Amino acid sequence: MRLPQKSRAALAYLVLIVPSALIVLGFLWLFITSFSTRTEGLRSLGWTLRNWSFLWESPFGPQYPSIWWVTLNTLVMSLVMTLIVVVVSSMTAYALSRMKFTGRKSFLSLTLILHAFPSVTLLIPIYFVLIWVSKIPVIGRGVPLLGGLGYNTIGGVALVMVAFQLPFGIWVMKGFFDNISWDMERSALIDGASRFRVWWQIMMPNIKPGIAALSIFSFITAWNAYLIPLTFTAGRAGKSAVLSLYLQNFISESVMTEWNAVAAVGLFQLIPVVIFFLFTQQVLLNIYGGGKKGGV
Amino acid sequence: MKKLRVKSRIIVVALAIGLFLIGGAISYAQESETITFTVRTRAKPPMENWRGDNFLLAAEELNADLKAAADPRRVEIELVQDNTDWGPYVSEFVLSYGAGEAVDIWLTGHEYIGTQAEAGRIIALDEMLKEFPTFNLVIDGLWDSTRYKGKIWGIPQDAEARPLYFNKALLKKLGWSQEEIAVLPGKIEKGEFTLYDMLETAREAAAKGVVEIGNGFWTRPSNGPDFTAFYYAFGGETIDFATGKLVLDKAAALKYYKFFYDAAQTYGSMGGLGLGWSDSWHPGVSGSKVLFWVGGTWQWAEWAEIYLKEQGGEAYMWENFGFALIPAAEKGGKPNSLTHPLAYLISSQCEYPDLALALVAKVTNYGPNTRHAIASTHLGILKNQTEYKFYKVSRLLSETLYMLDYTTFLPNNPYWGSYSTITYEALAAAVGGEFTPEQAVDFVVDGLQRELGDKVIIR
Repeated sequence: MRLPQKSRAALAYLVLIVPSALIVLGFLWLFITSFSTRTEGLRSLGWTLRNWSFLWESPFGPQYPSIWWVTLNTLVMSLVMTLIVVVVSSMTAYALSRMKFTGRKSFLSLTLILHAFPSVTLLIPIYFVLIWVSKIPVIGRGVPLLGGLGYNTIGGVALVMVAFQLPFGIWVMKGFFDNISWDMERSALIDGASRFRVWWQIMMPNIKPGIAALSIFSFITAWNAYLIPLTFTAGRAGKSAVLSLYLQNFISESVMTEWNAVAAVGLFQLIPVVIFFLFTQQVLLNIYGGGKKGGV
Repeated sequence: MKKLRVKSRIIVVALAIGLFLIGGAISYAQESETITFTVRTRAKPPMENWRGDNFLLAAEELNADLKAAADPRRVEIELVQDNTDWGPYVSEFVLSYGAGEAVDIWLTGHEYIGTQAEAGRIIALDEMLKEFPTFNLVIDGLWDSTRYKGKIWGIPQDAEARPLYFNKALLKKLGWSQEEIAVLPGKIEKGEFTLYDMLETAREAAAKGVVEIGNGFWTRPSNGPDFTAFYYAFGGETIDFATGKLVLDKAAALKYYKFFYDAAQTYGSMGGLGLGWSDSWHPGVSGSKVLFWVGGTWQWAEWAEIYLKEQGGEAYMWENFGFALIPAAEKGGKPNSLTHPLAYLISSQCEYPDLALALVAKVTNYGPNTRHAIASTHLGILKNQTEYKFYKVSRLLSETLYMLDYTTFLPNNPYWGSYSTITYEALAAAVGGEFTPEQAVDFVVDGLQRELGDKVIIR
């Protein structure tokens, strides 16, 4: 027996609404809690702005870096990582997708194996690499804003995150390049364009959805990263503190956690991700467009 | 021609100003050299913030001393203070040391001294201590906590007692008179009320419905220093001072495990293991659900400020809670307490250890130490501190300072972590009824021999 059209639609909505409602309720709780003194379920037992006071005064004393400094650190780390991942992944993926060279398949397999390594198993070797990088003049310690690319710098953490994110990025981008027709590229090559120019002017505009997708994934990964910043920066309260470590400071094993403050900081941490998503979603929605149409 | 002359004059003036500025800068640099000291502390905000904040005031004082002594050096402090867990906190020091970027002054639990000293990451302080007589103020017994292989490696920062708390209201419900409750700490101090008397009382409370079964006696919910005090109560030793090796006393260990086995399995009065600190343990003990429990003096402030503020905070607690030493194992025996002092250590990568120690000396004085003690309900570490005007304001600290006379410490040994883990695993199994006391001792002996070999003496 076939259900009538209206019933099928209603069923579909029901299936979608129930799990969505759970997620929405979670966010609603987060929002209400962040403005409440206490809550019972979704009911506020008193409204307050106190939980947001971390915006204008440090809850851990004046010596602790302000939330704005911590946010700037996180933003710089996330943007640098996203930029490098997108550029390097798309260059590598283009070569792997379009060129034939010795070791191509082995390289692809190797990147997959690297991606399979749990990051925790590589922490110590990476630590030694970062120490070595720290000793390189200028690059190790003297890069403005990033601090450098060595141990205990925002740049160093970004560099490690890039290494972990690249295999995923290369595979994602390769998939997008594989779907683009040879014709446009061949025409450009016949007209005398160099490989670099073809990549930059012909191919890249056609894989904007892929770039957007990888950017979002990379940005969110970096924005929420915890283990790597914790291991490779000295001190949550130090100059290279990032938001995930800042948030963790509210949750201690031996002191009662102020969940209202955690909710407020968590919501604050969420805002840039939402903004970033809003700016890129239009491109992302065209992910299955392909060819010129997908290029927008 | 005229224009050229003007230009030349401008150039000459600019050069002169430049030279003047450069000269001034060089002269200033020669006159004073500012040294930045990185101080790393762990503190629960805001109660324990003085652990690090005291250095900001100390730097001003030290700079005044340096100026008076015509010493061109000046200090400034870069303070890194948060509430990170101990594991990442220690890893951070080890990793940053490996990178050549260790902090200058590092506050940590005294039990890490052995490991860090063996690895050469901290320096011995014996010789330098003589130059700062304020260190003579530190209670003599506390130096033992920072001694390793005959040398002093750190300055005690604070101390605490880990008393046996009891709930007066529940004891009243059980039929104890006001006077019986009032004399309980004294009876414990004299060895008249033993650990098994406590279990008997707890069993009675559960039987009469005053507390739920399992709520008669709670320890901390996870592994930690408190358990070692019980092992000491049964005559146990943890270190051989002659060799610096860890020690397991099998006879004492058997009594220790029997006590915890009995507490849970025979008397049915013990609970608390495995609970979450903030969601169950603190609400349980502060919420008058538990008759006896082992806690720290520093938790008094947390209960007052966080869990019992609405009921009246400290006033309510004085009315309803009491505290005493950990009772003796047998009648007439000696009760004890365990102190786990934190200590300021100086990194071997610190370029100016004399100034670092001078800063530590500044914070090791009545004013700074009392500020921390009062705010965080830790015990003072200085002789005659109970006489200090501002220390006296804390009734709790004044009434518990005597416990330092009965205090014990964890051993400073690099392998204490393994020892502690193995002995606790056996304890958890004995409490859970999975091991008999004999099996628990066998498990510990096997585990220690396997993991530590000849680094532990088993008697």
